[in-house]
Amino acid sequence: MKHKKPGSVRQHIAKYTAITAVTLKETLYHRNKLISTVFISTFRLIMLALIYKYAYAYLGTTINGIDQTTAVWSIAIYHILLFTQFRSIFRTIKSEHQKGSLEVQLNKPYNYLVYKCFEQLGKGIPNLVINLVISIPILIVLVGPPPALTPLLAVSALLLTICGTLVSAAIYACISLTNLWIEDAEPVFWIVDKAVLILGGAYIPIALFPPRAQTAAHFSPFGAPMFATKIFNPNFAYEWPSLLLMQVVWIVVFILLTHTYYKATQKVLAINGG
Amino acid sequence: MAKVVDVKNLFKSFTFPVKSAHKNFIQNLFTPDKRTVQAVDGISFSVEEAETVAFIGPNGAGKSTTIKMLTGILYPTSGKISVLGFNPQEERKQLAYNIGTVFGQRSQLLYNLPLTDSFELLSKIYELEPKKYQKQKNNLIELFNLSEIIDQPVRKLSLGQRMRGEIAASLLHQPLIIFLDEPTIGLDVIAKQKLRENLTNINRELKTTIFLTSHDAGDIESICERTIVINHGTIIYDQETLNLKKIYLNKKIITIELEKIIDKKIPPHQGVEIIKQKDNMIEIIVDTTQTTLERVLKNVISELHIVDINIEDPPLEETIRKMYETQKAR
Repeated sequence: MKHKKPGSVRQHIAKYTAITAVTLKETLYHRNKLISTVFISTFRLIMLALIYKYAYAYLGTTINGIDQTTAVWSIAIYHILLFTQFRSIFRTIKSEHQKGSLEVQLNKPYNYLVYKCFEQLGKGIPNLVINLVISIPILIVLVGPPPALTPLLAVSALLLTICGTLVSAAIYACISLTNLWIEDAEPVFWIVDKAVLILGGAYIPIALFPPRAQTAAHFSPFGAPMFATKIFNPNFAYEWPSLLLMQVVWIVVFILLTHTYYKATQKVLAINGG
Repeated sequence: MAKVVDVKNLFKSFTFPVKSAHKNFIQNLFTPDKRTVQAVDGISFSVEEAETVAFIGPNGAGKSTTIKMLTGILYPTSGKISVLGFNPQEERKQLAYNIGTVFGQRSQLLYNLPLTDSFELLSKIYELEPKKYQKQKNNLIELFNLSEIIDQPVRKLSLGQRMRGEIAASLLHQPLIIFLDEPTIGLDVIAKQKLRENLTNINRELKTTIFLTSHDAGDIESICERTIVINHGTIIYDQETLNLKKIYLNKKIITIELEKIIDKKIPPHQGVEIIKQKDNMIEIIVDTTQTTLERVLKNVISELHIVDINIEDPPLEETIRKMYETQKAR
């Protein structure tokens, strides 16, 4: 008997990018869903921009040293980058476990959680691109152009976005495994997801938080996926290396945690009563 | 012949919390009572290269749990498993490169995209060389007669076509063994027949070992040389299918719909027992060790005016119950 062995790194990369590519193709097939997601996201952005416009008109030109344009663009970045995040893998894994299709997935030569993350990328990319194209002109009309960035800061923001994506993948992959342990892990997801939303600055930019909440957002893993939203903060130029380091630490911590948790989960796994 | 599957003293139990009437909410939440179900209860067997094995049993007997342990999805409570020399639990990924799996009620195909896209993705997942993949794909298209449906979205395929696609997809990487869990479930007679022929062909031509679970005695008879029967987690029968056929699968049920209601009782023939006769419907059971189906059908057609006729195997559960009783009596 001649056994086949795992291939080269190049083949591994081709495998996971193929997963993203084919999911992207499937996502584009569901045009109605894509349009409605983009519509809801754009509508939410417009509403937030208007709320901030009125809040600033009432409270003054700056709050905590942040002007209206910076606040709105911070939140806009959050909502656009939300499509690079991995929240949906929780419900995908939950559904696959309940329907039993998990058994098909676990029989393939890949890492199931990595597969789910690359699949999620394929789902998120079309939303991200369309949102960027639609939201930016709308926001320019509503609140004006974003503050100018130096090339170095733009690159650092890109790095924070990439690392933030990895932190998000590691956090959500980790809590998704809870689905395989308990009957309804939705409360666990709810708590973590809301922590990520609030401490990431989904509705209020971190710079407007009270000092203690800012510290919590800075040092907790739940704020780390969206550090890129701080790009327009006045002290971002000094802050970004420490933010990047923090993200790297959280990536390592959560990958180790997820790996250990995954090993333990395999031993207790049951699919459809067997 | 080399052993491709070797299972020794395999146990699997599931423990789950149950609410106790004697405990309050907090106690039930943090220190619940536990119930243990023994799904697999000390089974041992081995399968040789290119063998075709049916692994059958009633619902809840432990078939799927065993398949899931053999493919590395579930961890056994105790016991040893070796599949193609791999420990499925410790070397799941390496094993996955060498085995194929088909779960009749779950799909591995991309629902909205053409069948060929699923093949393409699987070729990347199994890291196949493009030339090798193209050759194998063409072989499978021919073997499973997929040329007309290969470019159709999976959602537009009939269940029979989809199952052919599923099995072909699981053979793309030329696995040494294929595990099939209820592959013919829900298929019509023609689709079942076609699939059985395909599976027999791949075993004959590619020397792929087949390990199959099914509720359909027809699948077992036409595909598998050997049958293992599992009930309550233990193996109660492990022999050639031919023996099983002689001893247990020797009955056929014939349901006949007559043109009009007849008053007279049908006279009994040797090896034929009338189990139901109501209005214009008659149900008979034929013992094929005492008479042939051909003879019975000839008699029926010559004596009665028939509108419709249906021939089927007795339910597998019935056969297994008989097996279980025979074993107990010994």
